[in-house]
Amino acid sequence: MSFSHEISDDYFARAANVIPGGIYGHVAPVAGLPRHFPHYIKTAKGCRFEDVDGNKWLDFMCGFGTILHGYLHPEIESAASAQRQLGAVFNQPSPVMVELAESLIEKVNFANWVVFAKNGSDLTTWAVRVAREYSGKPYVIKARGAYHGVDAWCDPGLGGKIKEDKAKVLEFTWNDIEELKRVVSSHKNQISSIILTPYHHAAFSPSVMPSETFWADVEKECQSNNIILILDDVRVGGRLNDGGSHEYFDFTPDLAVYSKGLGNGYAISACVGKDFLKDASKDVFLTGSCWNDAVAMAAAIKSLEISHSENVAESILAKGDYFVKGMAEKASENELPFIFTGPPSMPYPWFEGDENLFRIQKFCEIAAGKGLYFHPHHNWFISNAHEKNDLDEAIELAGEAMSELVRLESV
Amino acid sequence: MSIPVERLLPYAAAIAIEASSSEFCSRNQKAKHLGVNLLPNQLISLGGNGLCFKDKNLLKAVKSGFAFPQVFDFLANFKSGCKSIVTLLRIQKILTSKTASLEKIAIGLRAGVSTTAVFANYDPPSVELLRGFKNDVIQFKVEGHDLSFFLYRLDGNLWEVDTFNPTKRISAILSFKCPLIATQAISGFFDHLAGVGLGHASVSGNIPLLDKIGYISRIVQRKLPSLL
Repeated sequence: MSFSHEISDDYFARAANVIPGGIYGHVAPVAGLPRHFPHYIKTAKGCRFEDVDGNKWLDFMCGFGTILHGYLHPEIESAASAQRQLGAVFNQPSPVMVELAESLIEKVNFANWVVFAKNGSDLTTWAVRVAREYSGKPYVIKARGAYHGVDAWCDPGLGGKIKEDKAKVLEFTWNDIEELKRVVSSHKNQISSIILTPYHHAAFSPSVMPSETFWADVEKECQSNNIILILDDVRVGGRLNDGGSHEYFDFTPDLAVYSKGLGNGYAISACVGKDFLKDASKDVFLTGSCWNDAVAMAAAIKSLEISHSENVAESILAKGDYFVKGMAEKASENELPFIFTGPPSMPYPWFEGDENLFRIQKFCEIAAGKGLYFHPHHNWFISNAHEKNDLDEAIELAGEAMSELVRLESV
Repeated sequence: MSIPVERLLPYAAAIAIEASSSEFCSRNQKAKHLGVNLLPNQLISLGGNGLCFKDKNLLKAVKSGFAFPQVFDFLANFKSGCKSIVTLLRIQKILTSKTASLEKIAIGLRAGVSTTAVFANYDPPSVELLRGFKNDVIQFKVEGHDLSFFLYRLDGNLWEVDTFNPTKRISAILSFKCPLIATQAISGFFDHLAGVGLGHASVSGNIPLLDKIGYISRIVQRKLPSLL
């Protein structure tokens, strides 16, 4: 099956005249499958979307993780619509901000306070600054290759950089506690924070789960050196445990940042923290003209409610597990070394021995021809809208794509 | 070998000429190969004796198509110098022609990839950017035509350019849809993001590596004066 791209291409050609590169960032065509994925999407519902050319897709990216409960979830849309009738942004915040803050503090077991913004980056950067304000120390440690946003200290891009941007950023290899200890001891009393994702989910490479003792060791290192532990739960939050990924891995950070799944597609991010950081947080300036957006906050309140009442994290882990096992069976039938890494609710696809990615790209291209939105370079996402019949359909079509891949490679 | 930072651009310009002449010679056996020799006192010679430029004059020559070579060396090696100049003029004629001939693309593409290799080897930020890539081969080609260049680095040695793949593996491929698009690329008029989105070029394989190489090539294109 070959999908038509005419309208999508037409929009893209117009965009290229007025927007640098046409589409930028993680959704730039060059980062995915430029001639197989659509450039523009018309609408989406549940776990399916329709592109501007009318092609219908079974989705496994969920708006790159922003959709936790499914596109256009009726209860969330209804809550957002109700708030929209009252207004979105005012001179002062809406009372929904207080309600959302209380909901989050009730949900996240270590949190005593919370602030809101729009993007993950807004608050990962702010969290690093709060740690600096509290400790008076300049350095932050991160895992090599980890993504924490688009600000200068962590931006993985290539242009617009100066050496000083990352002068106070130190790195270690994920899971290598000995290296972390070396980095800490080589900058004694100069490290304010360690910022980490719950597991290592770098793009273009397999995900790496924490070793059995990793988080306990990190906590210990932070405690013995007075280092603030920041959890960047922007991508994973809500997909492993309803109360935050730290509960899934059994540790306690000092600060945690959430965003993607929080508003089920409405732009919002949150940073929660322990009581001892509350005073320092008051002195680190934080604002944005639309950050008090009451519509996104109303959507987030409803999203949190549903996550709790429907045990969404457990549900999508189980659904992911079903999907991953089904895909493994198809791979085995086709004698392909296809594996998933990372947790089943966010599986990262990988062909063993395919370091240069040609095979996964070809597989995803073939799958795209069958209406499956499988990304070759990024972890996939399972939402709670993926039902058994959706997963069965995807597994069946993926099996066909694998057989086709084997046939193509044997020619 | 290391290249002083202030001589990087003239050296890259000279390598572009050398690469162009290599490609030109492969199609014109009587043409003279213009091998680069980086000399002291800010001098660069092309094609052995007879054609030697001050660094700044070489950059001027690449930009405007003309600059005075070192007169004494030219007069002392008049015949050799003249042959070098004839080759240069013939290459210039091909590159500035309005047609998208395969010869023009081959010369331009090889020159472009070769200057990228210079930066990949000697420009400190570019070297740092590619630090993790020690055994990689990138293929540049034009769809439907027998025209390919390989930019490669083996065992952590210097980046090199050739018309054949020295290994059996490939890390990444950049393929231009047609000669016209390739011509736009060598002239610096190709939008690398939109072009891929519109299908004017395709990329496959190790995208992070291609991304970095592409970025370096754009830096080179921005910094290095060009006739095109």
